[in-house]
Amino acid sequence: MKVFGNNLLARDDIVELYKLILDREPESDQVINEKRRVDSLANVALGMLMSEEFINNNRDLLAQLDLGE
Amino acid sequence: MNKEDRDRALRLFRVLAGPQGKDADFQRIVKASVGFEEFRIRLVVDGGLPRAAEPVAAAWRSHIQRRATAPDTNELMHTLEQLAARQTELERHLRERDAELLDRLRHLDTLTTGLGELRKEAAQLRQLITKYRRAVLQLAEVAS
Repeated sequence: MKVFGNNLLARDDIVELYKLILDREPESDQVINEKRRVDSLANVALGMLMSEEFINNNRDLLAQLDLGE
Repeated sequence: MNKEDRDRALRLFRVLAGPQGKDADFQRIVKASVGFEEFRIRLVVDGGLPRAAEPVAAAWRSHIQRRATAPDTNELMHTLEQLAARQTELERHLRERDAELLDRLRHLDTLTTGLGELRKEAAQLRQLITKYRRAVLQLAEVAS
């Protein structure tokens, strides 16, 4: 994980997370820059995983799998 | 899981689990998952991630529970479309049966009319026969 001098996350890491979690490219530079300001890449990933978009894209799988208590 | 998916899975595991992430956890989740899509979910639910990941699984559970108790708009629309299609099909079937029934009624009407005429002719014949019988009897009386 690359972190720049002003504590911004790396653009490429954000783009990669979009592809890994939301299966798409980011819609704009603005959203990339917003996410670069988050304190960690893990928190960016968790935010994407909790998003309505992820849930809607994976609703069938989420309904099938045991999500625990 | 193929190599490309496995590489993607490892990358996501490293991001979420951090340097403390145990390789055994990664291997276990990979084995349990059919593909990368399933891995993403299993990783959050059962991947030994830090506590920060718990709200994600909770949000998913909440969504699934809401969905189970209240069907969403898409499902209702789908059901409505199915009902509309069924209604159209039934109406078409009903129109076909109506046309068939009308044909049969017309045919029955024709037969009834024909039967009436036959009855009329039969009655006339009976009258004629009666008339001839009387004439024959009168002739017999005259002859004797």
